[in-house]
Amino acid sequence: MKALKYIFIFTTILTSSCTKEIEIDYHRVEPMPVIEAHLRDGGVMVYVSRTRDIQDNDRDKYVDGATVHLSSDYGDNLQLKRMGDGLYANFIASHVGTEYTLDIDIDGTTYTAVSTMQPAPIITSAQFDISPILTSNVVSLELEMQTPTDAQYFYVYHIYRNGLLYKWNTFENRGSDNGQVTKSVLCFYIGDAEDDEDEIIADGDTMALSISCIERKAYEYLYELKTSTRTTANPKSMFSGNAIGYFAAEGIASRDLGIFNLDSIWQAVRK
Amino acid sequence: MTMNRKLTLIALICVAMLLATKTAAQSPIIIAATDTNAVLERDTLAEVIAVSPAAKRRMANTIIGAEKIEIKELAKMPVLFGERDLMKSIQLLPGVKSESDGSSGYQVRGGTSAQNLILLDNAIIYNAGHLMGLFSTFNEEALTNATLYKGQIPAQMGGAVSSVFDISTKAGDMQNFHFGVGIGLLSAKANIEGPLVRDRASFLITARRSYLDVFLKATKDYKDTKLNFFDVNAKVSLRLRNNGDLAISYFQGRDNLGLKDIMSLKWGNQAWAVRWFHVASDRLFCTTSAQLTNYKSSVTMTMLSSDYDMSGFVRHIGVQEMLTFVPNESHRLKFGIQSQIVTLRSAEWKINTLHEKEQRRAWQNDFWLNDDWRLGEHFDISMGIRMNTFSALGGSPYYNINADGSIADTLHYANGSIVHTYVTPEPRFSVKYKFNQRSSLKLGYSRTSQHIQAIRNSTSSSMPFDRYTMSSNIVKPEIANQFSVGYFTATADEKYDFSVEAYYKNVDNVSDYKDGKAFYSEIEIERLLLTGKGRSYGLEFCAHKNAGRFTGWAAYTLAWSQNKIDGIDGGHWYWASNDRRHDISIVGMYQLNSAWNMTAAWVYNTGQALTAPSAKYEISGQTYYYYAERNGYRAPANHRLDVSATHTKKLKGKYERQLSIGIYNLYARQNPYLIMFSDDEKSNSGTKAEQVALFSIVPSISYTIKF
Repeated sequence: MKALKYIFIFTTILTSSCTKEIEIDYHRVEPMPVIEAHLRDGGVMVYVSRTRDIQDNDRDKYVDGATVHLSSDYGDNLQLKRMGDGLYANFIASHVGTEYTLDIDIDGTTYTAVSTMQPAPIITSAQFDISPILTSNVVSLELEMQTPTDAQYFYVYHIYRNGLLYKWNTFENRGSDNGQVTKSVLCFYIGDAEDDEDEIIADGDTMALSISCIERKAYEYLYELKTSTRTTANPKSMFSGNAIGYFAAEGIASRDLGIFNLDSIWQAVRK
Repeated sequence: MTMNRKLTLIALICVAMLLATKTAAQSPIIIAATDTNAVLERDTLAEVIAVSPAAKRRMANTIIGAEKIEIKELAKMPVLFGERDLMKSIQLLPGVKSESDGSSGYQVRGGTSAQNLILLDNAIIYNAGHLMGLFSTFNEEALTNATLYKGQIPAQMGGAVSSVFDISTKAGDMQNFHFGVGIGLLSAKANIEGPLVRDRASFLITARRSYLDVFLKATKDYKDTKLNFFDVNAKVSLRLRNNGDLAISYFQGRDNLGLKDIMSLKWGNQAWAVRWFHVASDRLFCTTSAQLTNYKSSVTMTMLSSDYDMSGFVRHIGVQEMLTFVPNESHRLKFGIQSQIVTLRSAEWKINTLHEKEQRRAWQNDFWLNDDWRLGEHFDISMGIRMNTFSALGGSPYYNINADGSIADTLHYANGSIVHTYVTPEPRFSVKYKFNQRSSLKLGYSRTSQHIQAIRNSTSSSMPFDRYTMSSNIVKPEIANQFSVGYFTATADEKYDFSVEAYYKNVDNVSDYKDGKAFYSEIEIERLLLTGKGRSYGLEFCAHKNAGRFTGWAAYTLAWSQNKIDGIDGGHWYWASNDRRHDISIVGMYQLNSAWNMTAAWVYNTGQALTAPSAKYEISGQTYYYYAERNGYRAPANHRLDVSATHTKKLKGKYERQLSIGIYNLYARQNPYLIMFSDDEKSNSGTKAEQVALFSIVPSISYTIKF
């Protein structure tokens, strides 16, 4: 058996695949507007920026000179206030089932998107867990939600660590058990030195969760955005014209996950 | 290779596989001998590629590009991990490209590997690769002839718009028993053949199984990993009393890959073929055959609170009657009919409580007629037509789909009723003008159709996760038209020959995933697809040295391949993902003495088309890429040198042993297998492009004993 092991190690070393950085002569494209718009019960927030050159490290490509207008078939009609750093916002009482139209004027060109307000989801449980996978233990966030069973609903979750986005992804209630949806979010491997430091949640980190119910178009945009690195394709923009982005009129539920402590999760698991 | 845990189980599987494949090897091909019946059936317009010094045979073929050669010379070529691989060897021929470094998947004249048809004793084989395509499922010990039709496809063959690879298995020896065993770094194999009734009946059985599991069990982290493949070929041949032959052959290839009870991946083919060849008169020869193919794949995964079970299959059951009528010396008429039922499950998913399935049936019928006509001293003409009908059958839902991919209507048809029928006439024509005994000019045109398509993301190679679909009320058959012209010449002593061919091919109804969609996005595959057209054109040069201690060939391909699909790249023509401009392969074989044979093969190709980002932007504080053009960039060039040496020695009695030593990628070139982009705020470049190479230098050894 020892001999086999040495043969295995020898052949592995000899034939190991290898990663190296390569030069690419990138093609330049004209900057395009990028719009991220959220309408929730109580307010609307729109972030407007532009794409940047692939080799440009300056992330501050905010567009502060835009005019942003929101209207609805419920009779709403308001202009959003410029908050700086590309953010436009205002207060509004939204209504489930209402169709909202967002018009954004940038340098004389108007970009429009439409979204229908969705009901807020009901989070029934959200807690960290530890499970063995192969020779490692992995920390995951186990979510349980109650969703309506009358139709297909689409969701996006955001997990925050110390107020900053930690992980996000989309899911749907297709195949749910009487509206009960369970979702496991793999967070990090315990004691994995190779793991990206950004993945590891440290003791004392403050964790929070939000889950939004969004309409199909927004779900597809976010789903395609999440997989875009693998598919090497752009998500289909919800805005008319040559603008990138999405507009989600979303019902949202949030939950405070408390201060992260690995020992207490271990204790809960062992019980 | 550093493994990122975020990739979780799939990455683990792949790593385990890579660890294993680091021991795998490319190999030569042994294909020899002839089968009289097969010759009768096949001696048409083959655009065969095989590699053998048969200049005369290449000259004799009527049709453009027709080089009918056995592939036994390929057995002398360098091997990867001691595993001889027919599919890798044909990638050294002009107009044939590998899908990626180390892959047995091949692409012909700008087509994708999913547009190739592989026939084993006339039974269709899908996804003919072990270990995610790193080795082909074909054990060369079982094979006798292999012919790749890359341009002009004979009228009796159809079902692929790019190429047909027609492989025949060996018949067992009717006189004597033979036995052989071999062991390489990855697998062990055994074969036995001999008479059942002397001069009347024989059998042949070959089997191969990998023993990667043994290596993995010696490791701590992967000891519970299941990683093996096997393939079995069996054939019984009977010589009938009334000038006829009957052959029954069976093939099974299977891959099993698993991590404890967390994940399991299985895929493979099972194929049966029965063929009865009989001589009706001295002018009429008949071959009656039946085939059955069952290709299936499955992926199961249990992780955290989720259970996934995804599977699919393609099944064919069919009968065929082929007749060859020779009324006089100038004409050879071939005609026949084929009928088959296809059952295709594009997917079945069980994801926790979700259970969805899409399965359909179709009835396909073909009739063909072809005449090989010798017109005087200088002209040989081959002209024919294949009439193809394909009927999608009721019994499962069909749809009308809106432009946004949603279902407009669900259509229900009675079980077995015809939903939609496509009738496709496929004319085939070629002419050869012979200037003299050593040079000729050939022209050809052929039209082919394909109803079963493997849909894969453009960035991926052949995988067991391909979803298959077939022509329906929405999906139309792919139809290709190919024009080609070629010139062939040989030296007076036929020690050297040279050929050049040019081709232009267009393909209608090419399907691809919509941007952002993947195989699991929806169960109704038609909701995920966009349809357009493709075109490819190129020049192929090949020079052979056919005699002497040193033999070999050099091949150069200059090619272009483009697609045009509404919804991708603004509906403009864009480079296909397999487009690459220059391909060179140089193969040299040197017979040092009766015991030692040495070979070397060098391959080079310029960069393959690549989709890279052209800008980036932020959403929710995270950086994403903007892709301005599909396949608008080029990956780095790919090249490597493989060498091998084989020592053959007669042992006592009838025993013979063969020791092969090889090195794949002798100068350890890091060829691009995958290119990844990541944001790099710390560097001036802002974005980091990294290339992953699959193989470095790979030594191999194999040992075989035969009697």
